[in-house]
Amino acid sequence: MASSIVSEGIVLVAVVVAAAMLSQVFLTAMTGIEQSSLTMSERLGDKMKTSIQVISAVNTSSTTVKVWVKNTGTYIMPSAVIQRGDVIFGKYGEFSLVEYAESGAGWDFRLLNSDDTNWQSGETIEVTITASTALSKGDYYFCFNTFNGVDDELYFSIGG
Amino acid sequence: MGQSTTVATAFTAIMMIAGITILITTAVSGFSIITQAIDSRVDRTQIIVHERMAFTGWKLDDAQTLRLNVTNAGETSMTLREFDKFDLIATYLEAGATKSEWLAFNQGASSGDYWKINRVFFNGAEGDQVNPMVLTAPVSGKWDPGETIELLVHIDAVNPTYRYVMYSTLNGVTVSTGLTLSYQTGTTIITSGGVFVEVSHNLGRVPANIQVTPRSEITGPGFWVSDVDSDSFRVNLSQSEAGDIGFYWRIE
Repeated sequence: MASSIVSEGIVLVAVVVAAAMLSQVFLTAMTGIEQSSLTMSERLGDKMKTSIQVISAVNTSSTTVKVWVKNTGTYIMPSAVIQRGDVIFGKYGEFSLVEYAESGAGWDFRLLNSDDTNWQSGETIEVTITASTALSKGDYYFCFNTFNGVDDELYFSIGG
Repeated sequence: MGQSTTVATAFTAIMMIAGITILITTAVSGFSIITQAIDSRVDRTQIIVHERMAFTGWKLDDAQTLRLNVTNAGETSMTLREFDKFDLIATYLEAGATKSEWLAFNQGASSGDYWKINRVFFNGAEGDQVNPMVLTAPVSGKWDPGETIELLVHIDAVNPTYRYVMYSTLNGVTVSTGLTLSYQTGTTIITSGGVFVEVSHNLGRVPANIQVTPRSEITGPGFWVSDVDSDSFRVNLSQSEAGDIGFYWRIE
């Protein structure tokens, strides 16, 4: 009788330990899924809140183009995040990625109607693209792609 | 043996329920985040769909200042406090070179590069009744449907010839207008005893050709045009006349 109780106890402990381990694995997996799901939802939400509009583009010299891009969404982008965006620019059919560069050839930006260093809803940035060679006459393409993959593009012409 | 199985099953079941609860909570949170984003996007789209503007006139105020009338042709009201988020990009000629500049809204400015609201009209009369505008800094009120605002655009350049203006609201709704007239016609009078009259025009550039025709006989040797500028020219008489002399003019 006593040995039966002992063996029953041992089995009980073994089963509880096994169940606990199983549950631990299960809960860990659930927590992982929860984190991934929340992160994905947050990213998707941020992306849906992000919206930009290229308002206008014009060449200001033979090697420089200015483009005005407006934040038409509700997502607030700090300056450091704007820099992580991609600028694709070039003559129609020959455009390529332009590197961010605060001086020399590349693209740079400045916040126009902002009181701080964040690109907030309704505010505009002035993107300046400096080319290494003179821009010839013709049709040009500009695309600004934010860090989270939201973009807007504009075709414009450079003339005499 | 039966007891241990029951305990283990109960234990596992509780853990499973906890896991499923976590999953459901996560899904609900995720949906909530996405729903908020969708709501925000829908709200903005609604505004953009109903926001419209139209340029309804322009004239040069002086060599550097342009007067522009813009009418709220949509169904939304725009708050003046948010006009600093509006964009005005002016394209102009200076010394033969085309330039484009983004100008800041500055209601208190009187020098430098700026744009501001000079007056507001509703149904052709100055002033507005709904959400009345206060145009001294700090501005307040709203630009309501049907109201026309008169903008003063000023560029601190040497005799800029305005060619094109693009105006954008906070939400990125844009309107643009060219500022080049192909020709302009009018009449003017040199009053009795006078020998010239200054004629203002809105061509926005120095006319390439000016035609002037007297409406009555001139007894003096002749008449001519001088001081041709991007906003005016002068019609001269070689000698004063006893009565008023009218002229038709056409510039292009």
